[in-house]
Amino acid sequence: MVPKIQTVCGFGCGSSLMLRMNIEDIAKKNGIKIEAFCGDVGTCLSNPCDVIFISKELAPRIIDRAQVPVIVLKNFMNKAEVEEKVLEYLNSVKE
Amino acid sequence: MEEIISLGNIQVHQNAADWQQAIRIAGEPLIRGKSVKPEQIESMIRSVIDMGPYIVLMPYFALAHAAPSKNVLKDDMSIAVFDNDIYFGSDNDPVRVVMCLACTDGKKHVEKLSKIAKKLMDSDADLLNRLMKAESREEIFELLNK
Repeated sequence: MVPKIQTVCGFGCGSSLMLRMNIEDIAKKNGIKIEAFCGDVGTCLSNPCDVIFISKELAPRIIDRAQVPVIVLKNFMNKAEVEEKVLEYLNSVKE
Repeated sequence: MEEIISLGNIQVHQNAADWQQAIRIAGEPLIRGKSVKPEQIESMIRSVIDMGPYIVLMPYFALAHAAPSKNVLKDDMSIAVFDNDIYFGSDNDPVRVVMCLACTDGKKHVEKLSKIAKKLMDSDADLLNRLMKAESREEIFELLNK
């Protein structure tokens, strides 16, 4: 299964873009195939995906209504944190 | 190589009384260059009020932007480096570098934004430190575009 990852920020064109690239890089580096796209906090719940990555400020807006796992990041641009959480998720769905 | 941020869109040694003014200062070249109407800068400010300061993506750095709208005339980016600490109310405060992103619905800005993102993340604290220590706009231009 190719995990479909949605990165979410306020408007789907700024920070979520950066996060998406970050995640694509990490997946590529680890030889894992993923599909990633950006969404905004208003519409992300209606976009089909397997998991949502979102910042901790915006997470409360969707966390109660999300139908997929929501992974909360303290710092979108912190490579170490993103890498850790992405790999944790990707490894958990590999089994 | 096509430049990522033009020299005219770079400001250095700025001072802002608060985060709203910081966004206005950083976004001013976009208005002047007719990439956005003033309303888009106000939308950027409103989005922080509505959604909280999530735009402070890492310590010292905020990426101001708002939804693509009719107030965006073309894709563009600007940057301002401040001499004083700006507080957005984020855990990543204080901020000294504010980047403003004007995006249309298209994907043109994607590549430029990715280049900057990569630089910010690969050199990490280093690029930001060098931006904050920069003496001139030309220096910042070199740091971002080379």
